[in-house]
Amino acid sequence: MDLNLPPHLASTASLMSRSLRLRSDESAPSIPSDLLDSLTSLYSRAARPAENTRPGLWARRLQGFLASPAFAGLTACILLVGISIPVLLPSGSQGETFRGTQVTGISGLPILLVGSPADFSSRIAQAGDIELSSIHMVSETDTYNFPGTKIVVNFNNGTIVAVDSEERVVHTQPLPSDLGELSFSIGDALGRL
Amino acid sequence: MSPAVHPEQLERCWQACWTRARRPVEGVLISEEEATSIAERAIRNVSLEYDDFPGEAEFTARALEEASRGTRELVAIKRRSVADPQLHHDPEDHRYERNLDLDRLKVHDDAHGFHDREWNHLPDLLRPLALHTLSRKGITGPDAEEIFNDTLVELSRTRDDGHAPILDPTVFEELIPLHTRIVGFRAIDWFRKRSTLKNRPNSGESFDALTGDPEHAVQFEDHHSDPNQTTFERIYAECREALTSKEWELIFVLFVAQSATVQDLIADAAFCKHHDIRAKASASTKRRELQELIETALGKIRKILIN
Repeated sequence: MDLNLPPHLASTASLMSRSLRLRSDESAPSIPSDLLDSLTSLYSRAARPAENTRPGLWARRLQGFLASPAFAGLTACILLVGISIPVLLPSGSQGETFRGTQVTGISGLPILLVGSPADFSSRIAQAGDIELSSIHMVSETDTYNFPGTKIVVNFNNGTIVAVDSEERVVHTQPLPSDLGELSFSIGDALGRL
Repeated sequence: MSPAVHPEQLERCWQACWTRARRPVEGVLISEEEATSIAERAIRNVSLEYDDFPGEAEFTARALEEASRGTRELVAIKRRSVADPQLHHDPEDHRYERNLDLDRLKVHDDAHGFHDREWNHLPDLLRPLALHTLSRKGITGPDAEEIFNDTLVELSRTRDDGHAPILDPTVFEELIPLHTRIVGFRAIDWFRKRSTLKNRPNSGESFDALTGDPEHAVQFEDHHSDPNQTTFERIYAECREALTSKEWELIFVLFVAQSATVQDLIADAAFCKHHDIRAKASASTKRRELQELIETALGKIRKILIN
């Protein structure tokens, strides 16, 4: 380091320089390309500067629109749709969770519980957005009776595994320490399929 | 506008997360495949927390925390499921013979306290490590034994938050640095008590003499006894509020990631402008201004870590 720090700060600088990697004898693989792509895409989109707009012009257009008869018609339409959709929806449907809607969207996939406590399927169904009929309590060998896409929650080895239609493991994650969060973890695994 | 993210920053974050996932605590080791899975999940989870990239220091610190937590929880669950506390213990770790069953150590009831028989094995396991730490600080013999006994009691004593320290670890290996920290604090208490006695007339060395003599220095700051104390994520968590985002960026680039030198930074006009360093000043002036910024930031970190 091309710095002449006072001795008391040199020790702090040295501490910081050793803080990221505790062992220098181990090399990590490169970042997975899909992870790199999704993060780059996510944050480059967020970091893009706002387009050069002309606020004066937009303000005038907005003012004109609010004063037009079309604004009242549009407001009435939005109100009508907002009231009618909840009425038309089946009464049993659940709202969107903060994790998104992916659980509800593909909850027909089998979720296999291996080595779980006896009443666990109903607890998971009550805790999350997962249909009880999708949950099956099976032994390790019985998982082969469910070909194709599935989620295997294995209490014997402490993992949640997402398997795609070609029987490939596409995602593995540990069981959460708080089993109350299990439905979220299953939703997370479903989202990877 | 939020800071733009560069692929090199994400690669550095990934590398750090992967190594932290593989060895979150000294003595714990998981497979490379599991480390890859946990590191990826940690980074993806953290990315959900931020709509804009929060800066490399913050993003990396959060991802490291998440990766470490993910591995510790995975190891704890797997050990519990097969009833093997030695599962995923690093075979190269020879500090002690075998892990104890942490779940049994945590068993507690109001009538008997921590009463499981597993506690009978704990003194034999911790004593050599504690006595070694104390001897490095110059405390040996009956004094060291007395301090060690006090630290064992302290592990099971309920703190102000209502929990005993033994309940903190997720995996047994975390108990070693936790106990080492307690030993360090009790050693400081012992020195303070002793210096109070010796500062009386005709009673020998003072506290200052014990700590100030370069030939007989007593080491109070023993970072080697607990490497996890000095992880970036822990330092960041402790000092986060004290430094501005610009100061963190500076410290991270120069010292933590070591991705640029001072020479690189003062030659970078955008960096100088961002940090209010006069771009048209001479190189030596820019270097002096940069050094002032660095010393200010490091001084804040040092102040918090020492306190």
